[in-house]
Formats: sequence, C-alpha cells, structure tokens
Amino acid sequence: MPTIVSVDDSTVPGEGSSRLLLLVSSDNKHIVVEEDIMSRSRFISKQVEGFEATSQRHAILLPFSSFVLNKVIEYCSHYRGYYLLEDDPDAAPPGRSPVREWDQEFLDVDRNMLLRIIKAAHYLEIKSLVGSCARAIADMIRGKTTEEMREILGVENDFTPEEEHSPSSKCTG
Amino acid sequence: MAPWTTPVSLEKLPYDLLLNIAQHLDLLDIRALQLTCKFFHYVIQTRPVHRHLALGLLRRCRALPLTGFQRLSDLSTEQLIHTVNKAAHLERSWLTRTPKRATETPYLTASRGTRQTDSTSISWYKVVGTPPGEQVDWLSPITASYSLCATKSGKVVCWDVQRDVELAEWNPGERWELWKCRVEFEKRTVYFTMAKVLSGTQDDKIMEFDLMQIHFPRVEENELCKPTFSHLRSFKTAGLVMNVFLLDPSARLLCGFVWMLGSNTIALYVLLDWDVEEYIFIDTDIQCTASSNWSCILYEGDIVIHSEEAGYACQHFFPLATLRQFSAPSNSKPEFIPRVSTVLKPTRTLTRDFTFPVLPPSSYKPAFPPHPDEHIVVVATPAQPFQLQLHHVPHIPTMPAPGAPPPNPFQYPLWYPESAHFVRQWWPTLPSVPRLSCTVVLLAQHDHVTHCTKYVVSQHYFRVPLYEPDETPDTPIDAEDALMRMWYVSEPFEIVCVVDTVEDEEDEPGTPNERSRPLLAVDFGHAVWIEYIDALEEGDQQPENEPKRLQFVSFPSVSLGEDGRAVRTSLGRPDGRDTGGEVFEMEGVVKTLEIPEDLDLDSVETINIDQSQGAVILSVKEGKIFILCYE
Repeated sequence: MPTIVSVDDSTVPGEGSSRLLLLVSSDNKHIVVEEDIMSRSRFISKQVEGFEATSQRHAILLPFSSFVLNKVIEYCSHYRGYYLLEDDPDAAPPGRSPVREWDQEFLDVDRNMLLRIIKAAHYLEIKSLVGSCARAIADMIRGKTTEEMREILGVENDFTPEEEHSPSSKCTG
Repeated sequence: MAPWTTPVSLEKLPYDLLLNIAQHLDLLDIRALQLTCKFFHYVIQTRPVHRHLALGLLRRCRALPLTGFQRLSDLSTEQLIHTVNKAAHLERSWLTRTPKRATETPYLTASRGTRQTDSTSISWYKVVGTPPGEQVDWLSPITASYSLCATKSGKVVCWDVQRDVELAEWNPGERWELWKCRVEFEKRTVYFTMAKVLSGTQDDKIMEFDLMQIHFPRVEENELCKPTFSHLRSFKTAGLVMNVFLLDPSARLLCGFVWMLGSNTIALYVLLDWDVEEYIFIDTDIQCTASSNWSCILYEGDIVIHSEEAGYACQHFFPLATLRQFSAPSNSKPEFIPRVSTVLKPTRTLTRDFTFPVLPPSSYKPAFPPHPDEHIVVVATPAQPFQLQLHHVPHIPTMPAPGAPPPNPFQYPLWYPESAHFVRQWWPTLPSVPRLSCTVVLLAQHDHVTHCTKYVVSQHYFRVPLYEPDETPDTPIDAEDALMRMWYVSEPFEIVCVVDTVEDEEDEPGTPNERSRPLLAVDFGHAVWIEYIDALEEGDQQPENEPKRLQFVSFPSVSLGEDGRAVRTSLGRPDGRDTGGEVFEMEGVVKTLEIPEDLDLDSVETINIDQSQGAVILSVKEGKIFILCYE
C-alpha cells in the first residue's frame, strides 16, 4: 500500500474552474483527474465533502489497479455533465439500468475486466456503471446451459452427485 | 503474475451486485445459474431474487397462484419461491403445449398446510356439489379456496371449494340477477351488485339494484372461515341499464351505463360515494351503436368510458370534479326516480386505430359456402341498433393487398360482436406494475339460409390513456409496442350456446324470454370455450347431443416495461400458427383440453377460467361443479 500523500492544490497543474483530484491505484499509480468528472461517484463526492470540512486535500487511495481505474475514468469522462437517473442520489432508483449503446461497446471486454470494473464501480458508488456492467454480465450468460455458465464464470461444480439430483436443487421452472 | 491479471470470480462479488445481475435474467437463466455451484444456489434461493422474478411475472400479466386471501407479503421465502416456480411453469408450458393434468394445485389440496404424500391418490380434478335443488345461474371463483355462485332461485352462496362446504348464503327471497362482482384482496372483501326490474320496458324502465359485500374474516390455518354478507346500499335507475361498474370500492365509487332510446346516446349514472344519498345522472352525448363494445375504467381522477368499434377504440374522459357539479339528492322513497340532469360531453376523447395482422390465407375464405341466389345477412343499423334488418352485403372478405396495411379480416356488419370481454389485472399485484387491459371479442356471422352461426375470436391489449400526451393518434405504433395489435382465432368454429330463460317485463309479464349465452370464458392471457367437433355442412341447428370439446387458447404474451410500454415477449414459444413454413404470429394455436370421463359437456351451464391456478371451472345441470386443474 502506498503511503498517504498530502496534496496542495497549487502543486497540481490544471486549467479551468474544476479542481483536481489525485487518485492512487492499488499498483501505486498516481492519476490526476478533474473533480467534476468524478462527481458521478458518490464515494469520491463524499471524500471531497470531507476535504472541504477539514480544508485538507488528500490523495484518494483506491483498492484497484490503474488499468481498471483508467477505464472508470474513461466512463466518467464520457458522461461528464450528463444527467443519468441512476446516479441522482435524490431520484427514486429505477429497477434496472436502461440499455445504453455506448456502454455496451465500452464494456465489450473480457470477463475478468468486466468483473473488475463492476467491483470498482460498486466501490466508487457509480450506480449507472454498476447497472450497465450487471447488464453486460447477464448478457454473457443469458440463454446458456449450466455447464456453459460454469465455464464463462469460472466456477467449479461443488455439488455432490446426490445434491445435484435432489429435487431441491433441480427445478422444473 | 501481476495482481490485476489473476482471475476474478463472480463468487467474490457482494450480494447486491449479484442481485443486480439477476435482475437482468429471466427464470430459466436464473435456474441454470443456480445449478452451477452451491454459492449461486444460496444466492438465488433468497427473497430479493424471487421478488424480482415475481415482479417479472406480474409485468407479463401473470397472476401468482396464491391461496385464499394470501398477499405477497404474507408468503415465507420458501412459499414465494414455490409460488414463483409454479406460476412460471404454468406460463411457459401453457404457451408452448397443451395443458395437461395437474399434479398439485390449491384447489385439490384438502386443506391448507396439509400436503398429500401419496401422489397417486391425487386426482387432477374435483367435483363439488351445489345446494340441493338449486341450479347455478352464475358462478365465479374468488380465490382458489372460495367460490361465489348465484342460483336460479335468487340466492347467493359462498363455498369453500377445498372442503366442499357452504360457508354463507344470502337469500333475498326472490329472483335477483347478479350483475357485477369485484374482489378486493387487501380488504378480504367481495363486492357485488344484484338487479331486478321494478317496472317499465324502455326509457321508462325502472330497476332496483342492491349493492352487497361479503367479508372474509382472518382465520387460523385449518379453521373454517365464516364470511358475512352485508347490504351496503340500494339504488334505483331509470332507463335501459347496459352495465354497472364497481369502479373503486375503497372510495365507494360506482357507475353505470344507461342507453337513452330517444337520443340513442349513453347516459352515465354515478354514485360518487355510495354511503351518501346522492347521485349523478348525465347524458354523455356519445352515440350508442350496435357495433360498439363498452367498458368503464377509473383512471386517476377520471371516469373513462372505453368503447371499441370494429376498426378503432375510443376513450372518453369525465373528470370526477366536473361530474360532482351535477350531483343531485336521492332518497329511498318508492316514488323516487332518478332523472338525467344535463348533457355533459367528455372533456377529452382519444381515438386510436387497431392494427390488423396478415392471417393465414384460409382466414380470408368465406365462413359459409356461397348461396347462388343472394347474399343477405342480418345486420343492425345505426338508427335502430338493436333491431335487425336484412341487408345485401358482399360476403367475400378482403385479402391483404401487397404493400398496403392489412385490412380488418372480419368486417362489421358481416361479423358482429356477439360478446365482448374486458379483463383488467384482478389479482394481487405490486404497486410498480403498470395496469393493462385486454379485450376479447367473440365475433359471429349468421347464415340466414342454413341458420348456422360461426364464430371467431379477436383479442388485443390496451391501456388508459390510449396514447400518451406526447403522442398523437397517428404516431406510428412502435414495432415493439404490442398494444392495439389484433390477434385472432380466425378459423371459424361453432361455439356451444346455452339458452337462459328469463322473465322479461318487455313482453307480457310472466312470458319467458330466451337469451342465448355462448360458453366462453376469458382470463388475462387465455380463453376457454366449448365447441361442436363437427362443423355443420348444411341444414339445421346442431342437435343437442352432438359431440363437443373443450377448447383452449393462449393470447400473445406481453411484458410491461418500466415506461409503461407493452412489449411482446417470445417466452419459450414457437409463436403463432405455422402454415407450411410460414409463421402467422397473430393467429392463435387452439388446443383441446382433456376432460374427465364423468363430465358431460352437453350439460354444462357455466364456464370459468382461473389462470393463476390453471383451473377451468364448469357447472353442470345436475348441480355439480367441476374444477379441472391443468399444468
């Protein structure tokens, strides 16, 4: 884990009115990003509120790699300034995220990456991205057999033969 | 290996992420996922996942098979899982194959909580008796546990069908007709209206209605419920009452349609609060034609009169606030007669055309072989809607022209609406599920030479309002939007009709009048009817003991999106009828249901279907009720 770094606004170069944030990934990469890009993340917003209370700005340490973090920043940059209902903390949460074409293309990545992104989005509390990832994961396994799902999801069949054939685990649906 | 390249397992995801993923999957995928490993098995056997699946079923207008007045929130997680499985199983199998004998249903369970262990002793149908010496006039299941029936002597009887015992009875001592019945699950109460004619025949006809309720108190499991009948209100109407609607029992709101002979318009009779001696009676100025079918729906603060013609549907809006201004006092004195106070036109009227499908080529053939001399059918005219006249009409239906939108294959007046069935979601549902309505019309064509009548069935969905304020009636129907799209059983068949003998004051008092009633029942999603197996070639009416069969059809499956749009689902089906390689998806696939040997279709008097339990309920002349359970 990297040590806590104190940031002084003046040390970070930047233009425009948006302030800058320093994000530190688990592989200890320092990434500077404009604050309003990341305001979609409830987690970051709460951190920033904390800075304002103490007038101290710190780097925000994140438990995932720069590879994943950059992907999340790409998402947030794309939707910079856009209103997405799921990310509105005051709106009633919709049942599930709508289909967004850009997201579908953006999330056309391998399973591992998709799972890393959804975990990061969940940590950062970006509900729109969580919803789109959930949809993408569901799309990967939809219509597949149990065996194919095991393959896609990388899980082992740990049922005993008895359990596998018992009516409580099998369901006619 | 760098830490970010090690495989991530779905198993490591927090539960709410897994739930979010599950919300994008349907039952089949979720069942497959559940079998992958123990972890997913435990994740899925939980209430939130099954609540999501229940919501999906309700959005597809499928009822959950609950027992008695059970509410969704009353179910344990295990019961919820069981209920969802059962409903999903019924839904998929009824859409894809002929329903077969059920192995388990609350109708057949001896009493709640006790499950039979010996599966061979479970019969797939049940016969219960009607009160001795009584004939069933009207019958309706209320829940899988209770049924309500009106007898020909005027009694209303409530039964526990599982135990086959009568629970309560209301006997007014004379013949009243049961007109409407509405179940309020939350209140464990059934409301119904009884009607009788006091005097007069036409505009001077005075009818009396009794509004009643039956309340089912909460009881312990295995304890017998003792429902109580109570009288809520009596009211009189003037004129020819077409229908009454229990619009909102919790607001005590009731209304009725009255056909005004003089102006040939529809009058609206409203009780804004049936506990108050006030009524509203206005002429809507809406023309009443024989080709129309009518229904009434409460939508937010408006009473909506929904009417359908052969080619389009209309919705007329009457805000309750506007109607309230025309409220007049009423009283229970014998000389009191309600009067129309004014002409009040709807504040807005929406109209939308139906879309007609391309049907198999055979559907465009004449229903009867042409008679060489003339082509005359009996039709009603707009001026005299309920008087029949002979008219020359072309009898060749129009084939769809290439490139043009398909025409209505069953044009009025050649095909006239014999009966119309409007169905709303009657079952306990969740607040986020949008409301949808379904119209099923039995269309008939009568051959004046052979006196044969042949029938087809049309079906479509609609919502209130017919279109949103940002749409216009000409907004092209979205390819995905399944509303207003007609669906048919277009192969003409001969439905069995029973003849009811009613005493009508219209003729000499005491002279029996005969009314023919087709044996067809509709629920959301499905219809059942009894038809003659051999269509008559030429000649007389069907003899009474001609072979008959019980027919069943499922309507196209729809799902309601969160935006209120209805989208067709392709739920595990080869959709529509396949004719030589070509699939006609708006043509129904009719199936013949197996019936028990001791059921004689010749003696059936009433027919009902309960889609939530997969049950068809038939009453027969010998005073028995057959509950046939399918899965």
